[in-house]
Amino acid sequence: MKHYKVIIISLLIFFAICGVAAANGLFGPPQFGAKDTGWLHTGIGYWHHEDKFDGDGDYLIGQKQLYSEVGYVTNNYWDIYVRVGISDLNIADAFSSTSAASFASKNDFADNMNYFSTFGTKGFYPFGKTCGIGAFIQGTYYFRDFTDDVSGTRNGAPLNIELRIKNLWNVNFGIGLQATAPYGIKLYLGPYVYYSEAKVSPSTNFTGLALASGEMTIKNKTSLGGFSGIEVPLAKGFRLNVEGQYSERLSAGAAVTYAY
Amino acid sequence: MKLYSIPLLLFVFLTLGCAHGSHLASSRTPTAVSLQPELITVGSGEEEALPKSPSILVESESESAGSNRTNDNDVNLDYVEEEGEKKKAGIADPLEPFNRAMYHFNDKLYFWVLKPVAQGYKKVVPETARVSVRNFFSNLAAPVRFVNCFLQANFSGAMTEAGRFLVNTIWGIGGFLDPASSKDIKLSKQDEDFGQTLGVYGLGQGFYINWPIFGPSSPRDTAGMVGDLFLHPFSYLNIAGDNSVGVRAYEKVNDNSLSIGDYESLKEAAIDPYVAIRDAYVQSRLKKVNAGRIKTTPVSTGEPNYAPGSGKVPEN
Amino acid sequence: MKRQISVFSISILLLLSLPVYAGAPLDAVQSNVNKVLEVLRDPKLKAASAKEIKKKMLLPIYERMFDGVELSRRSLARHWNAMNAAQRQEFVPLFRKVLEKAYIDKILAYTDEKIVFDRENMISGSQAEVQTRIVTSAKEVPITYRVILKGGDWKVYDVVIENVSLVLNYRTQFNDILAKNTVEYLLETLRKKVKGQ
Repeated sequence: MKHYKVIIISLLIFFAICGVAAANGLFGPPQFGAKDTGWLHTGIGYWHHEDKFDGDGDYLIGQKQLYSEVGYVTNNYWDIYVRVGISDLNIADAFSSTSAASFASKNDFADNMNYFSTFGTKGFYPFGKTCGIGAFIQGTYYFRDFTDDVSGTRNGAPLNIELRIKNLWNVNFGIGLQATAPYGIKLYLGPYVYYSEAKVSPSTNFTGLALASGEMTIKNKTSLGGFSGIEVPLAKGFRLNVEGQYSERLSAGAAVTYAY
Repeated sequence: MKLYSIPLLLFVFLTLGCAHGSHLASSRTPTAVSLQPELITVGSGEEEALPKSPSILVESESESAGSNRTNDNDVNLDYVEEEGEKKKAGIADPLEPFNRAMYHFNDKLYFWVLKPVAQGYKKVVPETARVSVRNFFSNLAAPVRFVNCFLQANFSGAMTEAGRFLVNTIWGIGGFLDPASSKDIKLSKQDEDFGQTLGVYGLGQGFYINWPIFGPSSPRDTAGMVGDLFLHPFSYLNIAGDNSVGVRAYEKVNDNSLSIGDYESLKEAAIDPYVAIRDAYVQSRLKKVNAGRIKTTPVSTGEPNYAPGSGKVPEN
Repeated sequence: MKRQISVFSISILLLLSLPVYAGAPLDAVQSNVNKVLEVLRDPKLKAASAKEIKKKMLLPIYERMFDGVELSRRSLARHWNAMNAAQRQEFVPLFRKVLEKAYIDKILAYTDEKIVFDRENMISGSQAEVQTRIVTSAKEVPITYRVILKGGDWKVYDVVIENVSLVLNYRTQFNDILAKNTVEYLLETLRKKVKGQ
C-alpha cells in the first residue's frame, strides 16, 4: 500500500516534467523503444484535429484523419517515421457573407478527401530506468488541394464560387517528458510549438466573403500548445497510444502500433 | 531371502522380455480409418497380396536377445508390408508420353530461361527484399485461402487467414512484412486451394497431367487452379491492367529466386526424375487433402483419427 | 535379512527403471543431428579442401543414425524379396551412395540455419515420428524423421521432407523401373549414377 502511494506521487512529479505532444496525428511517446528482435514499428492511427486559423478573422478548422505509419528506431534513442493517410477538412462559417449577396447552399467549407504524408523524427534521453526526456520534429504536407464550392445569388444574379485550400502544411516541434509505469505503460506530456499555413484561392473574387476576396494565406492563430498521452502495451506485441493536444482547441486521437 | 528373490527375478525377466514383445505391434498401430485411397488405379499395376503381420513382430522374433544384430541377419529378412501402412498413393498416368515430353520441356524451360532470369534477379535484389515481395503476393492471395478454408468447413483456418490478412496489411506495410507468423501472434498460413477443397469433398485426382510451364497437375487440380483464378485479386483489380500476366510472371521469378537449387537436388537424387516429380506431387497433394479432411472430420469415436505416419494429433 | 531384501529390491527397481530404449526417439534423432552440426560448424574444417574430411566424418554418423537396410528394404518393397542375398548386399551401400551424392553438397552448404525439434509421435512401441523444422532466412522446411527401434537404438528408416516421403518416392521410381527391367538393370543404373554418368 505504501509502495503504491510512493509510485503515484513520484509519477505525478515526473509527470510535471515529461511530456510529448502531437500536432498532426499523434506525436507518440518520446521513446518508442523496440524489442530485441527488430527495430521496425508499424501502426495505424486515427486523429481528430481542431484548430483556429487566422485569415482576416478567425476560422475554426476541423479535420478527421486516418493514417498508416512506419518507423525505424535506432539504438532505442532515435526514431524516424513516415506516415501516409487520408484526411478531410472542415472550415466553419467559411461562407458566411457580410454583404448583400446570399449563399443559400451552406456556411461551412467541407472537403472529404485529401492525402497527406507526415515525416517525423524524435530523439530520447533517459534518466533512470523509468523516466526520460525527448524532443521531436514533425512535418505534414497535403498533396492535393481541398476544394469546395458554394452557390448563391448576388444582386439577383447567380453566383458560384469555388474555394481552394492549397498547399496545406504544418511543422511541429516539441519536447516531452516520459515516465514508465508498471506493466510497461508509458505516460508523457509536454509543450510544443507549431506552424501551419495554407493558401486560399477563390475561383472568383468576392469582397463580401473574407476567404474569397482574393489570394491569401491563412495560418494558425496560436503557436504554442501542450500535449499529453499514454501508451499501453496490448497482447501479442501490439500497443495502444492515446493522446490529446491543446493549443486553441483540443485535438485527440489514438493509434495501434506493432513493434517488430 | 532366496524365497523372495526367485519370483522377483522372474518378474524382471518377464518385463524386460515384454518390452521387445508384441503387445505393442498390432493393437497400437492405429487403423487407417477414413483414408480412402486418394487415387483410382496404380500406374504400374502392382498387387497387394501380402501377409498382414507387422514387420516388427517378424523382426523381433528373429532378433537375438542382445543387441548384436548383424547386417547379414537383417538383410535376410524379407519385406513385409506393415499393417496399416497407407495404401500406395499412386496415380494413373495414361498420358505418360505427353507428360514425359512436357517434363523435358519444363526442364529445358527451367535451365534455359527461368533459372538464369532468377539468378540474375537474385544478384541484383537482396534476399530480404525478395522475401518481402513474396510476402506481398502471398498476402494478396489471402482471399483464395480464406474462401477455400471456408468451403472445407475449416472455420478456424478461415478466421486465421482473415486475421493474417488484417494484421499483415495494416501492420505489415501492406503485406510486405509478415508479423502474423511471428511467435507472438502465431497465425500461421493455411495452405489451401480449390484443388484441395475438391479433394476434401471426395473428388479423386483422376490422372496425372504435366502441363507445360505450370507443371504437375491433374484434372481435379487444374479445375482447382481455374477456380482459384476467380478468387485471386489480380483477376479483378486490374492494377497492372493488361499486364497481369507480367505481374504473375514476376511473382514466379521472385519465388524461383528464393528456391534455386531445389529442383536440381530433386533431379540429382532421383533415379527417374519424371517419376520422382510425379510421385512427389501426388504425395504432397494427398497429404494436404488428408490434412484438410482431418481438420473437418469430427473425432466422434474418441479414437485418434489420424493415418499412420501422418504425424497429426487432433488438437483439442 | 530385512535390510538385504530392501537393498536387493531397490536394485531390482533400479534395473526396472532403466530405460529399455537407448533414448527417447526425439533425443536419439536430436543427438545425431547435433553431431552432424558439430562437424558442419567446426571452424577448423571451413576450408573447401576439408570437404572430403567432413564427408568421412559424417559417414559414421549416418551409419548410426539411419538404418540402411530398413531404408533399402522399404524403398524396394516386394522387389526386395525377389532379390538374392548378393544383390541385397550390393544394393544397401549403393543406395546410400546415391543418397550421399545427391544430398551431400546441400548438407555441406549449411551455414547457420536453425533446426527446431518440435515433437515426437509414437506410432507404436517401436516406431515413432520426430517432427523437426529447418528455419532459413527465406523459408521453413518441415522434416519428419520416421524411426524404428532396433537393438535398443532408434534408427531412421524414412525422411519426410515437406510432405514427401523419401521411401515412398523411391518406391514409386523403383516400381516403375522394375516393371519393365531386371534387378540387374536397376543395380547397373545405380552404379552408373554413383559414378556420375
